[in-house]
Amino acid sequence: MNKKGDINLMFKWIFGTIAGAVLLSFFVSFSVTHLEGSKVLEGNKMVVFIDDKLDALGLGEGGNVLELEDEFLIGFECGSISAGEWEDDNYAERSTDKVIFSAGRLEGETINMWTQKWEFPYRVVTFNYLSNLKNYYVLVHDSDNSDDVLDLANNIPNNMNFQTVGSSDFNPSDFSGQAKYADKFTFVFFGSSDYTVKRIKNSFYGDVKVEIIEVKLNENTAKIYNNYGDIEDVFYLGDEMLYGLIFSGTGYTCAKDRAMERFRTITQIYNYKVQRLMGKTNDPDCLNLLNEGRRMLNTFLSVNSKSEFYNYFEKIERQNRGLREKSCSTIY
Amino acid sequence: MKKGQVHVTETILVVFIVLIILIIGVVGYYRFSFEKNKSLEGELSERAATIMLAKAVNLDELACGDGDCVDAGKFLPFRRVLGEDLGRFRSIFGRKKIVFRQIYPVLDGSVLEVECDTANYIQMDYPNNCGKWTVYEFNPDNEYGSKISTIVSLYYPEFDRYVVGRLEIDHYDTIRK
Repeated sequence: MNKKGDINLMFKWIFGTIAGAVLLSFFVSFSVTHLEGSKVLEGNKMVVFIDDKLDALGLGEGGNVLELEDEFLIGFECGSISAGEWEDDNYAERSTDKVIFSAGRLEGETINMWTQKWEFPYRVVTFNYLSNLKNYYVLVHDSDNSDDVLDLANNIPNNMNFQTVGSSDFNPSDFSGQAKYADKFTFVFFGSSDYTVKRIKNSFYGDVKVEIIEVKLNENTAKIYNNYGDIEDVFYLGDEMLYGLIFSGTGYTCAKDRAMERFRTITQIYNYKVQRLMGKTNDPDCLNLLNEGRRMLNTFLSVNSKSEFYNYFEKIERQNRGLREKSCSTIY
Repeated sequence: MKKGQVHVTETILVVFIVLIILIIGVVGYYRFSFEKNKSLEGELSERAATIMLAKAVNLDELACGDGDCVDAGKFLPFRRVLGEDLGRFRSIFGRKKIVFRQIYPVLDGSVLEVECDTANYIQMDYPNNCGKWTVYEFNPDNEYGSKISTIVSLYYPEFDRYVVGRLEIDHYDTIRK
């Protein structure tokens, strides 16, 4: 081949290589962008799917099992639902107005759900309780409260992965087999207990997270011991909130605060409603009862202590009954 | 023109044509994807509105105590509370318009489009002096919305009376913004 032909051929090769590289890099970047996009979409679809399922389930009350079709890590932090690890490509997060009591992070192909309406004394919000097969709940009762605890347990759907045991039969080593495959164990002692988080963890092999909740049923209060043994004192308003405490453990306070925020909004709506009803009634008895009810609701809005909450709960319930008996417009 | 130059010109022409075809393909693909996403957005928005339709009827802020009806006595208080905490309700409802209407007993034609507000509420002829309650509206871009509706049981606590009502939700194509 002559020199001219060599140059010609070399030019074609250089040109072809550059053009090929440009085309190849274009297709590679195009594919990468699409793959990343589909991963993000997958995470987002999952959180929307769960949020929609909670919406649907929240219309009524009861238990259900949510099948995810694949293994997913779902996070239920305060006010948000997320899918995946934070640093992953397919991580997605969505804010939610729902009150969710759960262990925080649930990993697996299924999520066990249970919903209940919280009434105090009027309907406030739907509570969502979430669990899975890797989160265990053990309710430990003693002879003084076994009937109450068994009544509470009877209301919990079986899919919520809980068990009850009498304090005299309780031995943490009995759960060491389950603890091997668990993410978290929550021991709920009704009454006080001699067990500490450290003592229970010593009965288990591996690094399973342990939380202890000591509930005083007659006081509506509890102590939460986290995985490191730190203590938090809390109270609850009604059985629905007690179930929330059981299923959320250390995440309880945040979910409870969201519930209380909703409670104040609903109470304010009833407060304004009663004010308007007063303008529409001509019966002096009804007017007096409504006015009293309005005052109670006004105070109910600003109470903070557990005893005051229960006190005004009873007062408003009684007032509403009184209004109904006199055939007046009722508060709720 | 020399033979070599002809070859180079041919090559450039071929690459140029391939590039043109490629660009047309990519532009076409992106337009197709954009349209597909737009229709998916509309579909999701409609799904969200359908869920909202069921949710709004059962929303504790608006529902009756037993949950089987919508309490008309809560509409004006709800609007007042909404004004005090608009941000939170925007994150719950998104870009929507939520309207309740009384449809039976049939109201006088002249009041069907009259908004029920405090001024109407305090009149003696309430609830026959107005026909609808707009309990929520957020449409900052003045988008054209699609409407879905359902029949509800409306309860007037002032008169202990139940009437037939309709809940209408106008949803705008952008969800939860």
